[in-house]
Amino acid sequence: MSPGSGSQPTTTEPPVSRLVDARRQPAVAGPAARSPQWGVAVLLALLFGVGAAIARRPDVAVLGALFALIAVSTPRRFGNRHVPTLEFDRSVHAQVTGGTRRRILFRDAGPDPRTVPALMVVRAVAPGGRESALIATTAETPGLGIRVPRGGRRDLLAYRVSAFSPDLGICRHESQTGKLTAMLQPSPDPVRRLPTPSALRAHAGSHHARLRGGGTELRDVGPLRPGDDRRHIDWRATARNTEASGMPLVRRYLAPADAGVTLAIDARVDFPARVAAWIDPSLDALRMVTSLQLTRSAAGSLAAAYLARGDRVGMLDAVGFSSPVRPAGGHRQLELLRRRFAALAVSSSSILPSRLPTPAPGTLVYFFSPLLDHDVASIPARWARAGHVVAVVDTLPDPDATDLPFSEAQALTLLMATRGAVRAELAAEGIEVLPATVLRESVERWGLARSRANSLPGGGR
Amino acid sequence: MNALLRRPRPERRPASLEPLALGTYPASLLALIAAGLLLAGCLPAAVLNAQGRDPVSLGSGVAVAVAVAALILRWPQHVTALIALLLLGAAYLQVSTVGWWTLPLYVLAAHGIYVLLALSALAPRSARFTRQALLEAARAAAAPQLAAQLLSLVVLLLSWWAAPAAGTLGAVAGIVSAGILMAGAWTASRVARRPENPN
Repeated sequence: MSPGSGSQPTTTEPPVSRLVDARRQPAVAGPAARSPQWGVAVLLALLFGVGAAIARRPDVAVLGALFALIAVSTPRRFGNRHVPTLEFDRSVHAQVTGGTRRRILFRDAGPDPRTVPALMVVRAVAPGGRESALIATTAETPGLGIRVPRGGRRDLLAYRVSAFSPDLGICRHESQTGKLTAMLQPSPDPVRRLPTPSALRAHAGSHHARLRGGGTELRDVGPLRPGDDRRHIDWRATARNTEASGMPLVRRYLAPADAGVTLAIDARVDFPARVAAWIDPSLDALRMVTSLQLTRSAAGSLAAAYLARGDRVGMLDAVGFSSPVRPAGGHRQLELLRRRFAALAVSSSSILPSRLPTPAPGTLVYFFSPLLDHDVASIPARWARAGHVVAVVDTLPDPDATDLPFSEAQALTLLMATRGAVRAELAAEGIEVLPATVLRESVERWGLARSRANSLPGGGR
Repeated sequence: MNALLRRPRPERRPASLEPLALGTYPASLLALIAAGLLLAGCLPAAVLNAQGRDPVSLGSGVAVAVAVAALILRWPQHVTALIALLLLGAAYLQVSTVGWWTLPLYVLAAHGIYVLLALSALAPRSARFTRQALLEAARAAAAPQLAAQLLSLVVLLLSWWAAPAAGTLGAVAGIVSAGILMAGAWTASRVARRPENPN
């Protein structure tokens, strides 16, 4: 948002979630070969004809004539030169909701009405799933059923379209390949009472938010409007003003803001709520709440809330090699962060960076992790010892142990015990653990507690 | 590390292309109809054998027809379609004494088997077909099928009135014509099932 626009940053706008149709290969026409059906029929007709002439047998000639009839009835080439191009209807570009089932229509982009419609074979396969197909004519507009994931960037299906003549007696085919991807950004959950530790002021000093407020940095000079402080009327500027309205001009100042926030992400694993889906790959985890889903949602909510009040927010990949996002403010930063959150994915590599990434100095650090091992717990502890104010957001969904075999149930018990030990270690370091499933309540409670502890009236601004 | 964490994370997902709107039919239904058409097409031969009071011949004929129908249901492919068409032709050669009413039944059964199995082989077993696609394929394949049926009719006539060698030759020609018809569909299915576009 530009300072001169005089309005709040538009951080309350819903994030854009949509389907993206990426053409991997443009529609092309295959070689126009002659049909083997036609060729064999012609050959046999000739053989019977020659045989009938040599043997002087009219009955054999009749058989040859019938093979000739087959050859005549078979078109030798694909009748038209049209290359079918799959085109989704406009609903594919509309806003999508995660966790739902969506039906999108598609059709051939430019069928030739003068020719007979061809058969269109649409083959689609979801990553790791079974292949399926739909056979329709190029004149139809069939539908495609899609399960929209709950969040993130996911390849929904790769499709391939081929077209044939309706009698299938044609070698020539025309095809196109593409990929349908869902890009679902997290929906923010409004958090009102945000913690702003007093220690931050000592580290970072104040910076100016892009909001109007009672700071010292001049923001703009404009006509007096309801809500403006009359003590800030600039009489000299008003005297120089040549407009006929005669409205006094007032000096507006930027509001001060103190906090910088770093959102550190642990994206090594992505576990759904149902524990059986961790070990049974046939279970569909696409529509389940997963740890990365909670990370996207919680981080997006905090980023939107902090940026809405003019603070600076950055992002850090705590256990991976993704480039960090420097703390900054504004609507563009929120869009950048939302895209990064949506693109969060489990890394295929299990190698951890040898050097622990460092949050920006003086920033409040939120560390998002499912807290499954002690190695991860040491990261926020080291940041806290370095002087950062750190809170850990526990992103593991409430485990659902339905249909879990006995041995796996025992393993889950051990895992929960490990998580309890990790949480105890963090508590011993004075690090607050906030469950992501009830993020708003826990963050507001923590913010209230910190503002009271620091004797900051209005700590939750 | 905990046993749960050593397991691979869930990656496999079911197909995203789900059963679609009304008016689409699964490939398994097409195979079922083709098997039914085969049995119906063989019915006149069964009637003929029953009139002739030849239970062994009747039983073996019915067993073969049911076996081929089961084969169609299990593998709706070109090979099974060719076997079914040949069986139908063999049955048809026996039924000339039953009556001319068998001719439309035979033509309908042969045409249906050809169209349905050629389409079934075009895509995976989970494929679905729109009604318009089925009608368009049936209409487009009618001309070569009609030619093949005329050929079979000539075979029948030749076996009555011409020399015996002509009947044998005509039977061979009938087999070849069925092969010709399936060759085009087989080529199309190979192209449709090709993993990547060669271009």
